[in-house]
Amino acid sequence: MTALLALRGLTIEAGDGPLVHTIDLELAAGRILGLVGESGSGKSLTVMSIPGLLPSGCRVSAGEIVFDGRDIVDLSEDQMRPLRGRDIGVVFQDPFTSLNPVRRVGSLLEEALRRHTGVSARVARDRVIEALDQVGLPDPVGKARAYPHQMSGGQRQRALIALALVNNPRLLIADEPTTALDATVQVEILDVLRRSAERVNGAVVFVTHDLGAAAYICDEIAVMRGGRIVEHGLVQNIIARPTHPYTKELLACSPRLPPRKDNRGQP
Amino acid sequence: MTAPLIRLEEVSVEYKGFKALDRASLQVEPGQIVGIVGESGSGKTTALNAMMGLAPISEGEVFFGEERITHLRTSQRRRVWRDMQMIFQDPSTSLSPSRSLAASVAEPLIAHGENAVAARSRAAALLELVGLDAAMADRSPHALSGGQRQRVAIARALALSPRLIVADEPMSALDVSVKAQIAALFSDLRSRLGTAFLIVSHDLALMSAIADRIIVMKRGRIVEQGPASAVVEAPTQAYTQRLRAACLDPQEVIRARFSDTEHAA
Repeated sequence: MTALLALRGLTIEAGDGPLVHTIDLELAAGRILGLVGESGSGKSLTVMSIPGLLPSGCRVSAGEIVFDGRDIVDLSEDQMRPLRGRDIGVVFQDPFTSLNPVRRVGSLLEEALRRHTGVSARVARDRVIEALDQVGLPDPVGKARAYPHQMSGGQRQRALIALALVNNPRLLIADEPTTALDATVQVEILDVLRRSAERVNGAVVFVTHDLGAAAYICDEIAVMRGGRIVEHGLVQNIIARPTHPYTKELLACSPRLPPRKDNRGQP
Repeated sequence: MTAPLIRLEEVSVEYKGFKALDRASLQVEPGQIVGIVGESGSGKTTALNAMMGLAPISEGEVFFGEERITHLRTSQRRRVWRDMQMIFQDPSTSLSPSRSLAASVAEPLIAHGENAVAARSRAAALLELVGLDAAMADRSPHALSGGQRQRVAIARALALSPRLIVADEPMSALDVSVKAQIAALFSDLRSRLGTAFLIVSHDLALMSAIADRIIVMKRGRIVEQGPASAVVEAPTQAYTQRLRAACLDPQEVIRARFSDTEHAA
């Protein structure tokens, strides 16, 4: 099976040396990959290099980023722009800062849609309502007219996911999309991500520090530390039978509740 | 029987007519670790602020030991603060960037009349107590990791040997592996020094690992409280059950996701 996305020997440098070392990863359509690591592991740099969104001062110094059969690592900003938002959607961590506060949510989505497709205003409006509905926002027509500050954190993150998915991208990059949210909201947003990925049969790279969240939605997990992938495999193998000591350490510090004692829980 | 260290009796806090805390009653016994768990807007930080005299209490009373401290003047409050120290979420903002670690830790001692030489040697001992090398005493905080900075903030809070340390989300800005270490440090300090801790956290699993009692808050109210094991293992309130279900234990999650296929195979 050909991969939709392949990172081959990807190396990212800042001024004073490499921060990400020779990453090799492949991802097929319809698969969800969790890139798991702690701060400074290089997980965000790795994924942000794909849509050409590395912070200034960082650059890809070696390797390939092959998306749909084409090496996109050296694309100029003008060449990248049509891909980003249409074929590659991005969801960032903080729903409070990544939606333009003076724009209505619907108009942001409409702009993202019309930038990449020639659809009429009427078709665009219908598609925007549909996209807001698909991420489980109640009253999508009303939400399209709302400003970001009129929505809760969870609703804003749903709106951001709708924005990233409005063009049915083939690859979705989600960088810690649930970290800023309450635990009960996190689970809902993870469900939305998984359902959305299934609906468009897209590949998802889900960046997180939380092995529990990765276990919840991913098909496979790559564990990063110090700019390198230390272990990569199917989620059930990584969680049930980790081989690298660092993966074991991360698992040991993951939340563990004692079993429920009443009979309302699972047997 | 000794009085609880701190006690809130039916305390409400209102901001411009909004009840951020609604008739909350709770107490912490000497040497106890109590966790207040809840999501954003639940009133857990407001409960801490009410204790510290940092929130407008509209009804109810706060007692520190036998003393009523609901509406103390700042001059009287200082005496209570000596015995009740506070730690915040982000250790990088609670330490002065221009001071050495020893100077930060020694500062409350000097402010309370200790001489500089004695304060410095006590600061070095405190840094060791929280698991840092005393040789780091002359460094500045920017050279430290988040976990190390939080250790320094804890050392500073311990400087005046308070009976209670109140901590607002002290682990939530830290990496997963560091969270567990700081939680273990609280547990260790309680055993060694007998200090009581009241810790606000959104992380039920982390609290269940170290707290004696857990208080669950939602929308300004305490919805459930009791011994940690009872609250976590047999929650009676639907909201506590939801919080429990939202803790994603990787191994549990994988068992739930893949059990069907295993049976089939």
